Amino acid sequence: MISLGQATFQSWPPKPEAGCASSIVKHPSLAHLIYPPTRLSSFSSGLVPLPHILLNLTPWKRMPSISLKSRELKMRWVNICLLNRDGKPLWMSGRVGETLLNVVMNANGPVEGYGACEGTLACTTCHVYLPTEAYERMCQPTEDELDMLDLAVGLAETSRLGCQVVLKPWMDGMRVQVPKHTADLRGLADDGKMEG
Amino acid sequence: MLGFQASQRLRPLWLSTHLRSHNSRHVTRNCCFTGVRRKLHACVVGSGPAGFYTVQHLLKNNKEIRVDLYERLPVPFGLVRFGVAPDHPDVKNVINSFTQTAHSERFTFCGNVMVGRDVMVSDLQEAYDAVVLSYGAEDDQLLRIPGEQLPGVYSARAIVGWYNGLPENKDLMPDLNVETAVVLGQGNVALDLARILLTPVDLLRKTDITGAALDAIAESKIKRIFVVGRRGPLQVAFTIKELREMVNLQGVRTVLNPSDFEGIERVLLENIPRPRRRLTELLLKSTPQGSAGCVGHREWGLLFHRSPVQILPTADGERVGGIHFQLNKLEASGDTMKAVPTGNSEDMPCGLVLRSIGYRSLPLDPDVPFDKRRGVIPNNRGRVEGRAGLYCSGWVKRGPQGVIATTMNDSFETGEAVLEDISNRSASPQAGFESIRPKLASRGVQVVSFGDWTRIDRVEQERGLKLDKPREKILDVQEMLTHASG
Repeated sequence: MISLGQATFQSWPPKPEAGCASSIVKHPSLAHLIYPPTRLSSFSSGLVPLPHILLNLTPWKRMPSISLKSRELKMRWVNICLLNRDGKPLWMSGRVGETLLNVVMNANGPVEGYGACEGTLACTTCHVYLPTEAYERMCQPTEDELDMLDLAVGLAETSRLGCQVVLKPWMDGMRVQVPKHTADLRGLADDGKMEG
Repeated sequence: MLGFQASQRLRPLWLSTHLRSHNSRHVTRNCCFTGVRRKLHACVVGSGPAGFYTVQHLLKNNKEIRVDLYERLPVPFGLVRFGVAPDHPDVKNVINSFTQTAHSERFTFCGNVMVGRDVMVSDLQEAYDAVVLSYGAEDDQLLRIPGEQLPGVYSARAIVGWYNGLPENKDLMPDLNVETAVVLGQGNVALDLARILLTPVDLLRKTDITGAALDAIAESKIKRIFVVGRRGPLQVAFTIKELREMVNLQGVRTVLNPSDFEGIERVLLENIPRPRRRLTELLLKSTPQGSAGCVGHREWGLLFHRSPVQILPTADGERVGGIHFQLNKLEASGDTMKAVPTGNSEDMPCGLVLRSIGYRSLPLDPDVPFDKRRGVIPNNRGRVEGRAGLYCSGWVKRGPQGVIATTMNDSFETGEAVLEDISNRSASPQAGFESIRPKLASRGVQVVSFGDWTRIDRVEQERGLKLDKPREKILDVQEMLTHASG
């Protein structure tokens, strides 16, 4: 059963293109070709979360759903490229409707300390920078999210909280960046200080 | 049939992960025995967010290192347990991630050990490759004005500790039988205090606030709370989330003086950073001309441009009767606005004064360098100046400010410094806690492990279950120790 897609799977996850200048990178997404976008070696690297495999690699679950709703399924998985604090790109895949926070957590938490409050809008640890196009295309952040974002270190124009970014089919291939902020910690001295 | 197939399919996957982790465990152990790789050993002092985030970073980024975490109390998590307001349970979710870290087999929790008393920093440095101090800021700033010692003047820290079940504050029992309270300072702790004291008690009942504090707040006569700052609305230090909670607090009216906000709208037209802009807009909306805010029989307000000069006693001199304020105006001084006295003053009657003008760290051990003026350990990106192998993270490193994400980044920075240095050093293998244990035993210290803590945790949660709250905290260290030993 597994051998079904092995040849194709070898190029998954897609390698990021050189130079990350353009924000939404078009890459040959295989997610719509073979469902689900997974293979055993990516499992061992921790990139594809266990629950996905449990849910979707099982033949009794996979076969009927593909034949029934293949068009819809095409878009059910999206790949997101997360540029980690060290600048290394990480490809991870998530289901449409899932939050970015979930995707990162399911990938065995490659981003340290991500989602401390577990998506309850009570911290800023899942802060990410989105590509401008994506930021503009998404629904506006709610007041509660903005309240938290205002506390985020390195707040930028396209900052969002990962727990509020809900995956959409068009986000396939999107690159999001985790802010690396250790450098500007010192500039923060006055922000949270209590004034008498 | 299908179900059967599925379970057949699933089992190898689960097993394979299981086996893999087992194998890697053996590999590490073999390395240690053969001496191919030296066992690295670090310890962290203080189990608050800074401590746990430092541990997390060390364990995650070096697969050889072992980390021991020393904590003065039998219970972990520091300010997440004793500082975060009880009505902010979501912030405490971070405990789950810390607990996961604590279950690493390369981690040891050593609770109920006071570094600086039971064991000295020099002992730790002998036993470990690296020692990270992240013991926070346990003292609070004093106003240093006459009358500060009067009954009825409390430090914010003590009140927060009291309602959060900090053992040292369990007998505080502040007298809330007064109508007006004044909080000096306009930071988030000040708003936390005002909010907890004004929140309808039925809402607090469902939180992990201590039973004693809940009873006292239920009996409280407090009708109004003023939160006073020496500068203006554009210099407040609290953040918008906390302000919004106050403005929307059920049954509590927000009282702001419109004259404090004259000319502010003009400032908003200028290019000020978004956080400050949104905060100021919310303040403006909450003035009588604005639209936000609740109605109610209790009220809270912000007072600006006032510095306390003296705490006034009641006629009988036995407790707080009011505060004598000097009025200020603002003058630009470099990048910041400085409060300078106008020469006018004002007396304000009140029965309770809570000073919330900041925390400060204390020196832990005469052996460790300490900057008394700034209240921090002098350091360079977490490396304690002039002391190889000694590090610091969190509030003791950069001062008591910032949200949990700030502490997280700061602790990762320290963790990085530790890992960088540790790989370059070639010392003899360090025994870690095993060499500290006899010292503690000879002093009769009962060391609380993480397993012991889970026993305390279970007792607290069981007690909470009966009261329909997340937990009822144990306030007494002796009682904690009894439950710890099972």
